[in-house]
Amino acid sequence: MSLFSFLGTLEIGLIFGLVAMGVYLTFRVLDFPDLTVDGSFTLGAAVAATLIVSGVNAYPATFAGCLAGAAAGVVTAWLNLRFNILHLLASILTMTALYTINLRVMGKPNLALITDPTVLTPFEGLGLANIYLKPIFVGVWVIVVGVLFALFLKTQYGLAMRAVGANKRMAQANGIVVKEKVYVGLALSNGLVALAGALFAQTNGFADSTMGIGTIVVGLAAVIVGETLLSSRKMLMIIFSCIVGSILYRLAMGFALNADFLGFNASDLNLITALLVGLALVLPQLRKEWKAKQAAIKANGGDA
Amino acid sequence: MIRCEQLKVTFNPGLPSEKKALRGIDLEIPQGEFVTVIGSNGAGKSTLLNAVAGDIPASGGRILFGDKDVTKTPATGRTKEVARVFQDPLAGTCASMTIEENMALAYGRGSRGKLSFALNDKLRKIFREQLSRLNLGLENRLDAEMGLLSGGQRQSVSLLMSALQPSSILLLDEHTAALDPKTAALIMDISAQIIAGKQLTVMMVTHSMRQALDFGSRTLMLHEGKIVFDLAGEDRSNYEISDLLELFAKARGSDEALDDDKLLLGS
Amino acid sequence: MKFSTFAKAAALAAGVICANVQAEQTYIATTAIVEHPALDSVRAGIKDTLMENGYTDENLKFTFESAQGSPVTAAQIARKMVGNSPDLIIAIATPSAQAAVSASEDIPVIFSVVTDPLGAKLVSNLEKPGSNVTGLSDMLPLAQQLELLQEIMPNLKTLGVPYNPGEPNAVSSVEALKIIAKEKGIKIIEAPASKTSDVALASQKLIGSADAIYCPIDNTIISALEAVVKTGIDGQIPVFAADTDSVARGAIAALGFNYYDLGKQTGELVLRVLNGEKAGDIPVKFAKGTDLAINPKMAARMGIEIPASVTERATQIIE
Repeated sequence: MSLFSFLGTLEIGLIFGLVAMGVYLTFRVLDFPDLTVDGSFTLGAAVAATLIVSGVNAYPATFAGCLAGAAAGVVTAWLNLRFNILHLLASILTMTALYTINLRVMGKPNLALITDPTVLTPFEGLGLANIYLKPIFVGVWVIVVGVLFALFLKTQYGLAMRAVGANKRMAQANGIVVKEKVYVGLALSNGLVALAGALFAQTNGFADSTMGIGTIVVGLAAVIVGETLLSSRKMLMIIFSCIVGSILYRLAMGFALNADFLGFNASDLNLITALLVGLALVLPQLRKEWKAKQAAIKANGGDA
Repeated sequence: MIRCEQLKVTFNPGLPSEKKALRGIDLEIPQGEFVTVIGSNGAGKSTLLNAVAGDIPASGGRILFGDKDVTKTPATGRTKEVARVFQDPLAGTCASMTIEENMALAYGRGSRGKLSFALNDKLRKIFREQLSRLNLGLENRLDAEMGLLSGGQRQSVSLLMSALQPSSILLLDEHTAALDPKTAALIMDISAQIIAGKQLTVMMVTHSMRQALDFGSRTLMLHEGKIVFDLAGEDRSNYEISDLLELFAKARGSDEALDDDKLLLGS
Repeated sequence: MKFSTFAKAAALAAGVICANVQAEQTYIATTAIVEHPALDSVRAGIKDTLMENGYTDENLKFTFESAQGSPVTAAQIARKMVGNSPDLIIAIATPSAQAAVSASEDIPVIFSVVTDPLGAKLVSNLEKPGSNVTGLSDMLPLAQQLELLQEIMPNLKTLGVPYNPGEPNAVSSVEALKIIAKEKGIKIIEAPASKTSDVALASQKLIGSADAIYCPIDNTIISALEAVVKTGIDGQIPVFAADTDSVARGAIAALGFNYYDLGKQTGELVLRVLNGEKAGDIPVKFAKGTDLAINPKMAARMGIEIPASVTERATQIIE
């Protein structure tokens, strides 16, 4: 893999690190399976791109994209809390509706941003080549957001949110208003994912109505890979592992793309990615079993 | 203090599965009194506690804390006054979070400190002090996952958690029922310590006739959603378990045999 | 644990780098948003044009990646392609082209099968694109196609159009179609289908409300063309297409492009750049299509007969 390819993969991996954080918040912290992200990723991109193309400055446009994503999260939470619709189904409803809403927002299925100013524009032409500027810029954003997110989860409010997902009854017995935490949690999660979408559109030059399909799968894979390889109780480490998991997933896909020398076809991409990610998940387990076996042999040898 | 006026709780009203769990409870518990609540299964003991806590809405009647009518207040609104310990050690704590995190949560009960950090060294010191009272060595394991602790250890921590923030009412719902006798005794000891120290109004549901008479100063017996008798003061201190059983049978009508093994064996 | 993962990664990377070191070769990296017959024909046409002009497996490295329908994957592919420093990049379909143009600074990009290159911001000027991008647009000769339909079905009043509202090419075509159809007195009924599994249902809804069905150039519809054909047979509604490959698969007639031919036209652009012309100096090419393909047997199964005037002109008759 060449340096440029690696940097490109790193950049996309970092952006999806935000998605992984959002998915971590809903799936793990709140115990609320949320498929809205397939729609809110695109919504963030659509809103930001539409505003940028109509002349709005890229920064407020990106922020607007986040707010739109947060609103989508609130809708899912509302469907679940007000009407008792199963969380998974509520999120599917929102995701499905968003598909049309995104088309309406953009006015057409594909909106190009190649020549428009983006959040990167103030930093371009300062001497750093784009291939380095993009990943560094994205990296800084993602790390700052990640640190803030980790700190948030360590506050009383964040702890309360974690309790809601861990033991609702106990949370209520301790004065925590469950509904409020769910609304805020889903808004925050989808806001993060929408931010990722807005960043992606600006660093890759387009917002496309189909770009969000499969986001939940990528997010989950990143969270799980991160958890498996870097398990920790410390909040900062957990958030870091989400980002690392996302990067590793993209790297796996990057290697799959380069695998033609092994005799694979272009259409084998998904299978190879799955195999690589599966390997990442299985290796620690195998290692654990091997270690246990070694320990058992030692113990028996010692007795004899 | 707690006052219930004609408190009624009906589950599934109007449906074939309708159950009148509480049929008009009139009760006044002065501040600082420790009341034990007994009764056979289905009598409504837990329902009464849940109604006082606000987990279950009242279908009729009123509940008051002192002068404040809390009948319509949801559970989260009553947590300034009410602390609870559940029967199931898992129900009262978050198994996936650490001891210090659980305690920090309980510490925040009644006041949600919003965006300040939930844990800091000052708090950890307070938690350690509290935990050392248990003599279980838990003060050195603040960052241990709650799920790794035994039932007794969890219940001990739950007890401490209930006392971290001032409350006027403590509800204990068979909180030693899932523990072995030795641990149960330890927990009751600690409970008594905490209650004495804080002048709490306590309602303790128990299946053990022994506990019902040994602890507190008043005993209520519930049967089919009503209070069938209310023992306090001199009368109560002279009561033996056998007397209690007789009274029980009388109140229920002698044609109903006592088939509740736990009640008999709880000595 | 972490170390072993990275060690594995390093070993794989070393292998890849070794495999990529080759002798003097022209290296062309191609990609498409998805694989289906029309887009595959374009690629075949490009490769054959190169083969016919002196490029062989010896002196040409021709790689292909499919984005499996995902624009995000297309972006990653674009980065990878640029990172491998090919002499030229060929990107087929709008999202793949956009990702390639966005990622590439110096490497020439030739796009193909993009209906609206200006709208997709691939070029700022159709005559002289300027930077390092040019390519082939497959904007349809819609007026001619509608005239063909009217020739085969003089009483045509309503035309059902299945398409994917999420595909930029299709949406621009349908918009343009509605305008031209109005001038000709034909009413367009839209039948949206956002994925291939929705196509059957979308086309079935047209039974009873449309006199005929017209399938635009739409990757989703083309991938599921057989479903539309089945609807045409079951509901006795004639099905027409906008690309000639679809006629072999069951559409009654199409005036349009032969996608293999489009590939050859794209190949010519590729040759010009390989021979030294700057991509930005070459005007965007608009595909020529004069192929008329007909399928008389299918026409009969759908309940109509193709008039002799059309049969005479046909360049391709499917048996």
